[in-house]
Amino acid sequence: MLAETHARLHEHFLSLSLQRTVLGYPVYALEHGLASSEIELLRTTLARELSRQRILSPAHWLLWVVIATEIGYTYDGDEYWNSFAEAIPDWQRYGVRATIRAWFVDFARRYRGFHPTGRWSQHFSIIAWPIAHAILPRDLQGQFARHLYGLRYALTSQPEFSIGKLGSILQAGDPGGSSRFQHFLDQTELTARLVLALRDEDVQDAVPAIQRQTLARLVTDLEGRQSARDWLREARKILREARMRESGALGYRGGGGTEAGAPQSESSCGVRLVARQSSEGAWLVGIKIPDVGKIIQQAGLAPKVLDQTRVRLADRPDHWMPGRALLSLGHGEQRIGSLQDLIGAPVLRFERDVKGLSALLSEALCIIGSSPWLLRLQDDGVARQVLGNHVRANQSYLIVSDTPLEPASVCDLKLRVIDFGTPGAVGYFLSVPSVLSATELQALAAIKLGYALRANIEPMGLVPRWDGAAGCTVWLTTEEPVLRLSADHRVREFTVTIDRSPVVRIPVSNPPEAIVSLGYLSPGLHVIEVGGTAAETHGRRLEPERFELTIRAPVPWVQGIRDQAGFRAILEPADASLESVVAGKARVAVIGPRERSVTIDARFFNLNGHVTESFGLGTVASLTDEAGIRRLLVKLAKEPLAEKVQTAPRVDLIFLVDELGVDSLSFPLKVRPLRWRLTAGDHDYRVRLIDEAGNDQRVIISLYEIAQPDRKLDADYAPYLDGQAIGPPGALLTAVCDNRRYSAIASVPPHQRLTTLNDLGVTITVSPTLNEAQHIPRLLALLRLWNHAQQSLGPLSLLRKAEVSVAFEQRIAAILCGTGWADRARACRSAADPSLEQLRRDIGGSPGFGARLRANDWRSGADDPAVCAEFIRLAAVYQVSDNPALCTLALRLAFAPLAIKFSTRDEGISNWVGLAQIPTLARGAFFARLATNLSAQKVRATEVA
Amino acid sequence: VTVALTVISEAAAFTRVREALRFPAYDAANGVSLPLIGQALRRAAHILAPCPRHELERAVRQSFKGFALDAEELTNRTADALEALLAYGDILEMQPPADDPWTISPLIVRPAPPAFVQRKAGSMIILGVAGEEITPLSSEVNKRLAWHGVLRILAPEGAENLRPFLAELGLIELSERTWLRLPPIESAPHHRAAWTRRLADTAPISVIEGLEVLDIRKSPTFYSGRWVEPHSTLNGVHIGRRAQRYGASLWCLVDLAAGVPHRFLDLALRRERERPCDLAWRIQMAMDADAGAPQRVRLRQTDGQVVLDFFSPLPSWAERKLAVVGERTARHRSLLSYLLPQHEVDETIKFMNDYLWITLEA
Repeated sequence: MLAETHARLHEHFLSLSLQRTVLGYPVYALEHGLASSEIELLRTTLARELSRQRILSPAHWLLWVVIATEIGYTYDGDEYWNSFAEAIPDWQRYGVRATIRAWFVDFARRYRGFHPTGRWSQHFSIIAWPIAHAILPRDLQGQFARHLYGLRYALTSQPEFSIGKLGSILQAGDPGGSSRFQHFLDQTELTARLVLALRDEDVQDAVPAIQRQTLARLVTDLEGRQSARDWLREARKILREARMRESGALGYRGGGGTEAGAPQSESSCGVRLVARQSSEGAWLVGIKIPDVGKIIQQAGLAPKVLDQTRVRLADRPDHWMPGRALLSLGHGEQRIGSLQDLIGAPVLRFERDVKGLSALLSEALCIIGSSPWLLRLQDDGVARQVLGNHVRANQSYLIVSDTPLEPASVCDLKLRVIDFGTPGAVGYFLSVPSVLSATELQALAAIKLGYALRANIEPMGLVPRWDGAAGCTVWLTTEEPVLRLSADHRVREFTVTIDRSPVVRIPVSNPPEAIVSLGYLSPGLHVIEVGGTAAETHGRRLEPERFELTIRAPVPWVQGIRDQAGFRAILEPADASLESVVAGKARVAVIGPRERSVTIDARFFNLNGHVTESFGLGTVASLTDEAGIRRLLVKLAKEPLAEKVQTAPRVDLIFLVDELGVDSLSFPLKVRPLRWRLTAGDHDYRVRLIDEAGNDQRVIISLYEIAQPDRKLDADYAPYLDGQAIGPPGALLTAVCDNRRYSAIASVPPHQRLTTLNDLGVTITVSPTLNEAQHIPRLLALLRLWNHAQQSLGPLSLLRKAEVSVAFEQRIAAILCGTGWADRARACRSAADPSLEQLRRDIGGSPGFGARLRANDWRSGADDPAVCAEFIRLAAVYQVSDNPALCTLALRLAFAPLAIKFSTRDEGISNWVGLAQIPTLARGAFFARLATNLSAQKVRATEVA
Repeated sequence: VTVALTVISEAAAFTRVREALRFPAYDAANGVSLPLIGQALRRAAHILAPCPRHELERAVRQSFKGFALDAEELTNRTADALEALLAYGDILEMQPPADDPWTISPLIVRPAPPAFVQRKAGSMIILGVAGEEITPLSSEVNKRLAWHGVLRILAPEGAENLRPFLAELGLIELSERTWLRLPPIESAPHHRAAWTRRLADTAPISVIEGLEVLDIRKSPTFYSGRWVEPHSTLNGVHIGRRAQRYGASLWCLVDLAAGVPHRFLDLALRRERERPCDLAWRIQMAMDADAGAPQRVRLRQTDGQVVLDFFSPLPSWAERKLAVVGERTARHRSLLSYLLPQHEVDETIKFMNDYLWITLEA
């Protein structure tokens, strides 16, 4: 069977090779033409032969090439030789990789087979052969379809589909895929031929570049996923349409800015003035700098010369930028601070003179023309400088001058003075009527402005893209420019020329208007000139109006949105507090272009709404990295920010995404009618109650010292309005009014000078008398009281709050689990490298109970009915307890003690007593929580790492 | 490529513009319609961003001026389309960076990145602007879009699972909750009282030029008829709009004494990220409910579905909620109407009552 297949394949490849010799198409091993069942049979037979003969048989070398290629086509893109070994079981023992390469080289020699090229094929000199001969391996198909889709317009914008050019475009595009895909794109000849084959599959050529059957297989596999099918179909459609347009081009071929004799832009290279209007109506003046990168490139200089110096705008002496900023300055418009500093010299100053650079740019960086400058108000609302200083009927202009214009001209032309707020710049708004009087013409001449009757050219229906630096509009290959022609004067006809095409005459009547379509123009610069013959004055010709437009392919949207798209910070739920955000109970995310980084600042406000302090929390490389954003926000829970978060009347989180803009989330602190203040004096701390409730209700004041947090001390109301001294370590203060409690934890540092961290420590003692099961309701009430304190005042107040909570929880655990076990659990919780094994063994009861508690996932906590049910089930199975109510109570106590509430103090005491009698059950619940917490900490540590 | 200069009619020019905007042919009969202007705004937002909204509006208005459409109608449609795009989140209003030298407006607009929201019925709301391609969908899938105003909805074909498909195309999935951005639920008296307290904290004034207010005493079923100039019989807190020199009138809360304003509060509280009109409409609904004349919704049965007729404008988040469960339809003796499947009606009415205190018309 092998010999027969070998002979058949040899004939097949030889025939392919002969057919393609004339056309220069290479042959790929994937074009074997075998059905999938034949491939499978071939693989198993070859594998058996290798196992039997223990050597690769040279007699079947071509079959090995085919099978190696098939493995290259289907492998997962991770490890080729592993996949090979899985397909050929004894490959590791008897196979020789170099032999496979040698046979591929032989294949290329005998059948004019494809030779892989590029860096990757040099570094992976063996597997490059079977993978390249697989044409488009399956793991790359989705990425290829997406890449092709993204570049569909760029590919069709080429004047001709040459293999070299197509491959280069595919290689240079932004693949955004795996590194293996980028290496694949290095095979420019392969990728270009693949694109052409995909495009021309519908053409019944006698000799296709890739065998039809093979191409059909590739397309079928590619279309296995909906997205890839969609991309591929769209890309092929665009490519085929472009092919039709190309072959249908019988007339004049215009455009193509790179061709000899192609139209040239008349726009002078230099700095142009622009002005924009604010929403309040004020005008701001700025400049548009030309594309310096292009000038440097055309002069043959490398961008790195810019690294030798720094650069600044002439009107901003202290604002130095890296030299490379020049490359991006031309992309936007720069608002200017002073016009007088920019006149008569380059608008950019270099810190150090770099040989050749200053001279090269000196002319290009000067403002074009001299005062007064004429800026025409364009359709997009921006006023841009026009060259030639000729005004036109029915148009609006801004005149920018370095000195005030003659009052007579201002009066005659009805100029409206504009305050730019820019030193050295005087502005005027000029609205030109349809007909100008002799006085107005004289006034224009007096301020060095001319007047011309011209044809008008306006884009219709599509907002034009302005390339301010080149002074022309930019259109896409997918857009058919539609222009509306009109004239300042009555005309008989318009005369239109595009590039160097013959003049087209368009007769018009009244009104003198025409709509013209330019069709789909080829990429490059095109110049349209529209003139006209006036209806009267003996056929006087209008001054021709020139309209320049650059055509280019659209930028794939995934790339395009990086520069332009906005973003939004979201908070879920929308009314969540900052405390919830920090605790991870609320979600903060930024929706926007994922390749952008986000910098987060926390801004603290005072009661007047003024920013008091601002802290940078850090930067996350991608907007979509929610875990990264959470890590930054957690900083707000640590000192010194935690204290500020607690006390600031308002905290804003500011999200700054590069130059795209800013979004913020605002967290106002709820201002309560009764609230506490802690102030530090020279020698002591004083706590004061602010009472703005203004009602007649009695206010009851109580104190609980941090050192003895269960001991309630009653206090008088009046002294606290003036302020009372409070000693270290502080206390919980509560004011109860109208059945509402207003509480604060006031933390006071020790009087003595701190020398070690231990000096910050505090001993917290829960009364020894609270040591019975019936005391648990009281201990839970105290726990809630401390936890629900609305304000945390003074340094370490949050830490003190946590320490008091731990003390109460520890006492409850000791009552129910036994002091020894509870202490060991506590030690385990605070250990750097905790081990739960001993603690698990000490739970008691069947060892299986502890083991299952350790193994199960309790993360959903006691609120999850499934978790409760499982705990009840385990307690029953291991005969710890068959009382579901006690089991649920134990779990709730361990996971969410604050949620346990009773309507009366004595309610539930019998349950607590019952639970205390089954320490194994309580230990089990506390153990489940401990195991869950430790595992969560581990995950967090991994995230941080 | 041939340079093919042709003189064309306005209708032919419109077809070319529509194609460049990747807008479906079936809606072409409506001419320069709201959805078409919405698409033009999406395209222009990518070109002009960052820019203030008035620049975007002006540029699009200007581009359509050659087509036969009344200038005022074009202005209104453009403003409405942009408002809707901002409400749905196709275009975002944001603050410019603090060091932006061209700070010509406190807020700038930028196109939102392409995203989708899953609707209850399984179809997807497509949001955002795909750069120069305008839509992130291929032409084949783009043809399947249903346009409800400026809102684009993609329905699955058969058992098609659109969610992984759209995610693979690169669209960001927004949860319904994220997209809706709902305010907290509160009672009408509480909501009204909270705003009244804020108004009471403002400094006294005596004159507001160009003020119009919503007259609470007039029937809430005729929204435009409720707008009046302050007159001597008007007392107490009202929703108002005050004219400004440039741009649209500002929404405000104003306290009148015999028609004379003595305190006012602009509702431009941007940090709350709600549009001023949304704030105003919700406050008005709270006032109506608190005054015992809550706003109403009317139910109409039609072909197994239900139409909900509303008589006052709804805040954008309420419209987003309705867009998730139903679709906007032709209004009938109402200000706006939504078509809903029968099984969504109860929950939707409960939502309207919880958030806007709207009750069912008897």
